[in-house]
Amino acid sequence: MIENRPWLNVITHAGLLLGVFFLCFPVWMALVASTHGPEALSRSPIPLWFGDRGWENYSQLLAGGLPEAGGVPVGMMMLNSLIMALLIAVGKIAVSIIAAYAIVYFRFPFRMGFFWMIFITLMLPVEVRILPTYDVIVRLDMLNSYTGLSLPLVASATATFLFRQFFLTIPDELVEAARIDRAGPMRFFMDILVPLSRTNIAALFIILFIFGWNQYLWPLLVTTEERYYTIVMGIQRMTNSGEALPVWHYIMGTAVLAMIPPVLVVLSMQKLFVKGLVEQEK
Amino acid sequence: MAGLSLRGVKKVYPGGVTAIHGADIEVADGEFVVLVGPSGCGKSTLLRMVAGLEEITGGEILIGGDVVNRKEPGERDIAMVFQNYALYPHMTVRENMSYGLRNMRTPKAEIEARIAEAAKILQLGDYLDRKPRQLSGGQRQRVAMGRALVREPKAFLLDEPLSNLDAKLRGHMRAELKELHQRLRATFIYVTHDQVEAMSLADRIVVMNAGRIEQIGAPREIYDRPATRFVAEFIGAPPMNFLPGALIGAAAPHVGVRPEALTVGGAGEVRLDGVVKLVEDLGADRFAHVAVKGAEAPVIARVAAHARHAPGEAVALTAERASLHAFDAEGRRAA
Repeated sequence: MIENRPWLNVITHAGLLLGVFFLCFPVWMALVASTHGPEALSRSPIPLWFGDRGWENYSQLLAGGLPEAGGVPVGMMMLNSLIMALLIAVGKIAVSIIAAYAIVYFRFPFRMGFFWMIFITLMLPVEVRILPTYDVIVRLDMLNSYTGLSLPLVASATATFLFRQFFLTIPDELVEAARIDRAGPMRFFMDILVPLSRTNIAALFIILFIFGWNQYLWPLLVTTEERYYTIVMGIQRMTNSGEALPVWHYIMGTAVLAMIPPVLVVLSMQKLFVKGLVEQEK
Repeated sequence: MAGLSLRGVKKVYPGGVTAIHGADIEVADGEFVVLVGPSGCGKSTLLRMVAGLEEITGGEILIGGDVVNRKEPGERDIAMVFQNYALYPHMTVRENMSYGLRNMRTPKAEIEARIAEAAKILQLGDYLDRKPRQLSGGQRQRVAMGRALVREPKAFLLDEPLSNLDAKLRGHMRAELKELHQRLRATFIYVTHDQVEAMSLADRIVVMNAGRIEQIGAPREIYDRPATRFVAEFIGAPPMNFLPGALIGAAAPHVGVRPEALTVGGAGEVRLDGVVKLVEDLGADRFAHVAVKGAEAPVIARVAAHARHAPGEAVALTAERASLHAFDAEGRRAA
């Protein structure tokens, strides 16, 4: 900014701080609540600083099953969520990059027709096609399996479109140079296209991992056995305690634990993510 | 290394547009042939057909005596240098140069040796582990050349390789290319729209216009005896002057005369009277634009560097009859 008015700076900073506060306060509350006993959270005023039961609560969550969550250990639910999120993210990227490769680089009948068909599925997320999809999964005998959890979510029009747009920016001469260098379609894909898409893949991976991790409705439908429960389902089940008092200290503890893997993914791939969004390697 | 023949090569696009109307070119082993013409004349298409990047509608292309019409670009044993270099951005210079050889399963030691050799010739030794984006335009151009060099192909195909460089570097790289050709004695086919590049590099020039070959010949031959009016106008800067034949008492309908063949004053057999409109001073040369009565465009003449001609001055331009080029009504050279 060119203007230099001290009071403007003060207002700007106050505004920004307020935003930070709004974003961070719920996370702070979850952290604080997970370190208290159950009764502290049902009384007013709610504590705003850490209690003394943090260690106890977290070891209970991680080690033993909680009756309130159907007796499933949190660690197992996290593992299920991790497997599902990874399968969805990796599957989506693999399928869409191959689909985009076919659409951009190969001439086959109804090429554009297929492209628009893929594009139209943007309007059909799981929530819309939930009954037919469920029917298919039942007939394929995929209830209560990791395949059933992830497969229906793997097709991705958004990712296909993104890769297509990226491939269209790759100069034709690069393809021609590769042809002269005796790179066949497979080699061109593996040696040139995939490495060039690296930053795009990283950016997509973050988005899709979090998308997969946050899945709620679909896992709720296809899993009936407790050993396939995901963490998001687990949190929801804990809050549905019926007559009994909700175990807020455990719920908040689970929520904090559930936040860790997505945060780790974002932190570890942040650099590539930003690069993928802003920089085009030509 | 090998020679190359194009026999009646045609290109018709699916829409029905004919890009090449049957081209016949014989390229000898080790020859440097330049395809030159205005943009859209089909020269790049012709080169891409030789490379195998463009399908051949009719005729035959032979590389080293084998018909290659149906062969993939990678199987033709040619190397190509593209206008924008087309280096693989994620690979180092070394990887860029070795990629084709690795695909051909060349032994590692052999690849290393060839890269070392090419790096020495092109002075790329210090840059082998850099990525293309860390290089300047001239260095990228050299890497593209190096990538072609290590292949040791039967023919080098170059598609306007210098047109992305600034004028000074272009002159420098042009000299380097010429030197490289003399050193390798390899077959080069070079496409450009720049007639200076064509004149200075070529053993033989192929002048193309609108999908047809206008003339094939040594640079001097093309310059001294242009076969058509198009060639006469395209090669040479400033271009040849054209006058109606009747103006100087010639039988042919069009007569051309190069600016350097005209002298102000002098005792030439042909004489043109006119008025100086402007004088262009290019340092080494000085050109006068003279309005001559009966000529469509101002006649350009090279004048002596010490001569001072002011606009508005009446001058007499003279030329020897032997230096005139006569063309018939269709634009073909008359005798």
